Amino acid sequence: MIKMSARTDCSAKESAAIRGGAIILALVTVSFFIMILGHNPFSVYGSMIEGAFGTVYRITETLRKSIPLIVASLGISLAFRLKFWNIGAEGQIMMGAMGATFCALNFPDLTSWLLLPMMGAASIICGGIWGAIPAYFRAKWRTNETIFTLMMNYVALKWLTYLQYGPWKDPAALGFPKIPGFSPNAVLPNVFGLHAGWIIAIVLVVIVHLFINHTQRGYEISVVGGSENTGRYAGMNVKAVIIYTIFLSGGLCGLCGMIEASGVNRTLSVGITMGAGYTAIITSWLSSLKAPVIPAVCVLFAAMIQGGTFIQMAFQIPQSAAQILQGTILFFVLGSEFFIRYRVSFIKNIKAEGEK
Amino acid sequence: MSVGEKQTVEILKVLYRGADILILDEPTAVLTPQETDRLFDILLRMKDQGCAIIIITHKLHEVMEISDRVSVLRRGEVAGTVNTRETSPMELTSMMVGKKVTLSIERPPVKSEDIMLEVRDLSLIDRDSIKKLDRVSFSVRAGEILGVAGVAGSGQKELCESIQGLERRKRGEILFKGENISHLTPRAIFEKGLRISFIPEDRLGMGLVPTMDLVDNVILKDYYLQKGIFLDREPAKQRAEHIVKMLNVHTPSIYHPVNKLSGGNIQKVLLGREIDSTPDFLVTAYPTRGLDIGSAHLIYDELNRQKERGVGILYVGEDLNILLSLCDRIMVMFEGKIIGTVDASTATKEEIGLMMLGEVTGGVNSND
Repeated sequence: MIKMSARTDCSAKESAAIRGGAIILALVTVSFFIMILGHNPFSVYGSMIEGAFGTVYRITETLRKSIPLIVASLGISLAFRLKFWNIGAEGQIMMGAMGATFCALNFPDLTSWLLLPMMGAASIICGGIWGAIPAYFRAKWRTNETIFTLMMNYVALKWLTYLQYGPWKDPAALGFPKIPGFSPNAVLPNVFGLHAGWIIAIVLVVIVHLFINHTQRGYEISVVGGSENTGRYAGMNVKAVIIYTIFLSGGLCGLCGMIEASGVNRTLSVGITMGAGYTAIITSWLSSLKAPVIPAVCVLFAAMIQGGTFIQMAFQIPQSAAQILQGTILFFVLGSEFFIRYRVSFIKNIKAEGEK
Repeated sequence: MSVGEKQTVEILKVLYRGADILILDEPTAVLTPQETDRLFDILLRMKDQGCAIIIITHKLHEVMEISDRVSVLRRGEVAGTVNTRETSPMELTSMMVGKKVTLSIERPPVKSEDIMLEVRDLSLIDRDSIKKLDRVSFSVRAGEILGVAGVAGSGQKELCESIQGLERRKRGEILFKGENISHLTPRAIFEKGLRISFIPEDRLGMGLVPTMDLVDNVILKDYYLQKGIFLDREPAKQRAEHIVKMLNVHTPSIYHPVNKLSGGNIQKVLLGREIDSTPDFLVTAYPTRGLDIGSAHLIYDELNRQKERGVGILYVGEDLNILLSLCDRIMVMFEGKIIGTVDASTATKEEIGLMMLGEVTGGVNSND
């Protein structure tokens, strides 16, 4: 018989071991899937690592893919600390990118030193407002934020589609529905072979870490996230805490959109996010919402995406195999939470023993 | 239906289905003494008919009154099983605590005549337009413990939260040292230099942040007074250590999450923080619920120490024996109204029980 009992004594080391074990189990499970496809899982995994870190170019590509994940994960982690399940990072990234693009298209001749900060500010405001709308309704009328933020994603997506096919369509593209490219002034400069987004990401990791752990506002977020009633008891304005935290959360996601639009795409399109808003939910959860852990997890996930592209070329395995791996890892890690919270022990069947 | 009636219906349902074993978990928490007697009558009749009954309770006198055998649980283990006739409350207590304790609660006399808190015509209508408080008026002197009795849900929670400034929909006046604080938020009250400490009924849901450690919980009420945007935990560290020492909190360290402490230690952390802010007035709701007798008495002693310091205390309780021996006066609430206030040194349980049913009005001191 299997007996389950709640446990509260799980140390940080043990829980890290359990999570690590879950990832290994996920790799093992997916290797069966790879074998069904007719390949040797070891060489496939080997090539994935090779594809992600094999050459300087590949490392740069992996890091380039990790930047939006890091910035969006930081944003999401703020909301999750509040137990506000913000699934709307995708939409917030799009709206942020839109804000940045608006500035880039309207002031193409402004000097970079002015234009880039302006684009950043616009993206934070647009992404932040996109997050604050569901937060307002949640604080005021206790609406379900998961559904609300998810729906906001679709609104944002359709809004971008409208802009791309309508008012922002490039007249020079001969009827092809695309938004004009940015002027060089609106493009993030390269620093050591990679767009300056990586510097922004590192600075944000430090800022978010300090904000959560060493400021009064950060403390309020932890209190309200732990118990809204306790926040009220301590005299905090719980509604305001919810709204401004989610504004910040959405703002960071919006900034992620600006980095992508300016640093990578140099224009805006409906595919701007590359699913980063959804992947970042996974990465921020896997980092247990801790800012210093987020970059490591995000680089690993970016490596998986980059490696996935590589195995597609090397083995003709569809890239979706890498996505199956991602999904499986999440599934196992979320499942392993159960073993962190409960102790499972096997006890012999008493009845069977009596019959012996 | 009243809670007592609902419970009777539950028991009827069980009997109707032909149960042989009846398990009751703290059945008297919401009952008046009269309703308790009725429940016990039913239980005794069931026993005569051959039913087996397990009753879980923290009130020792109930154990002595109704049971044939008692099992004492301590930290998930059976500390012993004895026949009720051959044991005494003293022995049971020792089994519960694991060592001998004295069960007496002191009641130092009230020295001051100064009125610390006065409530006038306080009414509260909640979101579903139900009257939770109905023209409540009373006063508490400095160094006095005013007990509040009443079946659960008679408006005690709303009263506590109103005094603390958490309820915004109230009408009426709350005068604290002569100043009307009925429209102020908790922070505004604090900033006026008026210290009201509050130990809410739901410790982990309201008084503390369960996942945070002692230090972060200690800083909860005054962190915002620090200058600048940063948070300095150094002073809180010393206070947490002080609280651990003062109330003998059992914790591996001051960086241990409070939800991983035992109930008694959680309550000590909360009480410690509230007392450490040197309050003028202390509102406590069921501060010893779920605690073993040893911890409970530690808390009564601490309340008495505060009383001697001249703190006014509002003590919402459920165990009438404790209310009668700890408090100076006992105010009885029924459906949001105050039925009457009695002197705890002369009142009887039966008298208070009748008032809890809303049957007696006015401060009658005896119904012999």
